[in-house]
Amino acid sequence: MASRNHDQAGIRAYLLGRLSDEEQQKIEERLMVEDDLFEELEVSKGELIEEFCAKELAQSEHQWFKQHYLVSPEGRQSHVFALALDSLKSSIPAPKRRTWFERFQAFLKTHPLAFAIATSTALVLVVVSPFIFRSTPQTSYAISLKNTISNRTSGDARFPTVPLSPDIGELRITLLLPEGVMRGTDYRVVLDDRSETRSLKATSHDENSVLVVVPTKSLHEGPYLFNLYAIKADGTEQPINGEYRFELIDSSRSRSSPKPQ
Amino acid sequence: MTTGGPTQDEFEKLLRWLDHDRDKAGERYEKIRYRLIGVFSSRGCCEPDALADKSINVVTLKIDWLLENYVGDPALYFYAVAKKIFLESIKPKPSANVPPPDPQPPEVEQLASHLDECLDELAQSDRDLVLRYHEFEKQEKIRNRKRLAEELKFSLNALRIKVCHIHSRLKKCIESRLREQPKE
Repeated sequence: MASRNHDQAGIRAYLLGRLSDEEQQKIEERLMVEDDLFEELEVSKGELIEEFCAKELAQSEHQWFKQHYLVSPEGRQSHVFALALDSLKSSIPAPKRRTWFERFQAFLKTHPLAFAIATSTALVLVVVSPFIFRSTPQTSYAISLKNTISNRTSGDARFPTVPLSPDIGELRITLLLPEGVMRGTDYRVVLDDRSETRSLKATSHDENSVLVVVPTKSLHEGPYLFNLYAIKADGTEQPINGEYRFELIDSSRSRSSPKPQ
Repeated sequence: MTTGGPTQDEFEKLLRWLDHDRDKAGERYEKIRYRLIGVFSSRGCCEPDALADKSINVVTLKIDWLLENYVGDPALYFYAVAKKIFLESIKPKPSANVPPPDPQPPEVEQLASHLDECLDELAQSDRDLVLRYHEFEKQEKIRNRKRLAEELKFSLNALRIKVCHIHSRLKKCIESRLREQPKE
């Protein structure tokens, strides 16, 4: 992995003319015989063109790239491709991540036999399930979280704690929108547990807050944070600055008693 | 070339030098040529294909000597010749006045319309991936790509490579549409 990152840096330096003659020769010799390195060259060329078009390169790098790779036919073609992709970006909204239900619907549309089987199975389940499953009532736990931007003045680094217990089936978390931030027509929420992130759809929202419901079975003890994205009418997303933090604590160990609803 | 290009016999020997299996030799030949073009392009050559072919011809003309004397990966010999040819090519015109790329080339609009069609030909998951990958700018773009990689359970590098492969497919699709298009 480290060597891959090293190669990535080396290839960028090569394409931006930052290598000595000797280093350039070494990297070109490797490009002739190493498949992975040549693949890295292809990837980096695409990324540098993207950065060139977005004017993200330093002035000297921009000039070098323009006067070298971009004068080659391949460079010119890739430049036009990047511009075309850029022009489409503004006309095609990026797809939202489909929920499992949407994916399921799409699957059924393309597989009518599966639809028939699924319908029959669902009917059987509806009739039989009361006899099979015993209801295990679970409660929701509701909490409101302030954005770290709104919290900054308090100087209190502690985050709200939320109990994790088998009785609580879901967390209903209201994310309070700070004043002055852009409101969206919808919202996307990203939950980060410091080892992985996952994208969630907002359950509902109003002018000042966004509600997100998270099943507790997918959670574990530890610190969490939410990042919030406002979805604009044209489908594009705008990140909302700041975060929403909380900590899940095993209620058998926690003494700070929460208020289940 | 007044000395004439390589003969069929020399070319056959070159292929055998690359690999005894003719199919594999053909693949190896194409791979070396493609990489030479990649290196020449990176150095800013205006005619990388022609320089790659010239390098290959020079190597082919030396095949008898190579068969007897050269030890090592043939690709490296091709590179050594290509480097000399590159240096010769820039001697008479050290700062060739090649115009820089047009910041807004006229063909972008046409290409964008083909790209749109080619995106529709991709599998839904690939189409979504490439569109989401190119969202945002600067720092938010980087964060977006990290999120996307985590969501798809890829390493960031695997994601970069996957998107690069999708780009290659899109470029091929666009090229074929441009070829099919009636010329004015």
